[in-house]
Amino acid sequence: MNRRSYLGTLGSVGVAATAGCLDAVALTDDSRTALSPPEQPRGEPIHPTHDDEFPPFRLMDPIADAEISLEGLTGDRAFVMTFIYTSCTEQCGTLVRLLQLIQEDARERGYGDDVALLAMTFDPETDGRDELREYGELFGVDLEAGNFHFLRPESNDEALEIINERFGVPAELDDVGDHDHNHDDHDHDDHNHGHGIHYYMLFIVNEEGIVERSYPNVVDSREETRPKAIIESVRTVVE
Amino acid sequence: MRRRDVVAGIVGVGALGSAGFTAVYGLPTSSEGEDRRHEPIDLETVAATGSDAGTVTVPTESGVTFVDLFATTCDVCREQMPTLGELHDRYGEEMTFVSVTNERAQFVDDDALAAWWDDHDGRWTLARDPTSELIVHYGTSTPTAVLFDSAGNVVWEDTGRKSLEEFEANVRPVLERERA
Repeated sequence: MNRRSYLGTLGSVGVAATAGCLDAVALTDDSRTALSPPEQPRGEPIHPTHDDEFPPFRLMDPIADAEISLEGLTGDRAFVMTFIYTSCTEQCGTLVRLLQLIQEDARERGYGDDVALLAMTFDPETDGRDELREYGELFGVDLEAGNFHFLRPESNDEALEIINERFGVPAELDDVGDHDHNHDDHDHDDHNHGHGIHYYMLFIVNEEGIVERSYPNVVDSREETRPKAIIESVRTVVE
Repeated sequence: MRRRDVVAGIVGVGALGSAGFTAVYGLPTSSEGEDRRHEPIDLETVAATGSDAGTVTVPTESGVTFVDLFATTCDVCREQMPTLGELHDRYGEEMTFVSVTNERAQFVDDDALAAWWDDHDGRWTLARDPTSELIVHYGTSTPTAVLFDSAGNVVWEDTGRKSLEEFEANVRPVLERERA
């Protein structure tokens, strides 16, 4: 069934629903999140999930030459964050495309100033300012809109430490510096046959710095990870 | 207003059993009839057996479109090529039949793609979606089959290995409906 998350709201609003006053739900609920918990929590993930505080970060956007931090975003705008590297042979580009679709929706619906779209590279030693700019343009991102930021840690060690340890998102680069790929040399496994190991995570974090949604393997075909469903969630969080 | 979805949740519960939330395809649109519709996207096609270099519009402006989302690195996609070949030979005349990969040319160039295609007896339109413009809407798990009717609506979509019978069971009724 589509929109499983709607089912998840039943438990928490049963009382209000019987009271028959829908508006009261919004006024009396003291939850820190706009979205209700996902219906199917997946075990005990190490990454932050619904209602968790997002871990602090402070990283450079090399294109805008600006520092982006949780502290700076909190109280100002919600954000969507994902993790990429430009020499990725797999689906990193699809993640950037997903952010681009959100950016387009934000522009059309007028919430462009209420959300930041963040793509952190975990191969910053390859991904300089120019590489990131080119990558963003390839996937149609408006880099001048002021709401899209590539985030670039200073070294791969730092990047991998942040993504793995702080954000709890498994990621690895196993042959950095050798981007001369020959697919025939790789195991023909359905996933992870590029040179990086990557969880394709996407977070939606609200203006208070609280995680609304975390989507592991967001590029898989699941109803909840359709661009449509993700955009709906982002709208709910910012509006 | 952060609790909007809860309100939507209550309102939506009654409908879930019947219609559910059908607006899952393509970009958000207002009316339900359009929700499964995908705006046509032009994809670059590759010169290979049965495929000319140029562009293909997905979904096509008229007629049924069958899309096979694949990757050269995907075992199931390779193993499924003979089945797709059968499907193509039976129904290829009646609908636009296209295989699409979002592998970028810097990793799998046109020659490598055409060679893979030949190795696995591809003989229909082969296209690239290097910027995931189409694929982002359907997930990147491969193989995924997407079937559009002549109005551009997604009428069937499924990921994973399929038998010829499964393909036919989904394709045939749509073609019959379109003929009528």
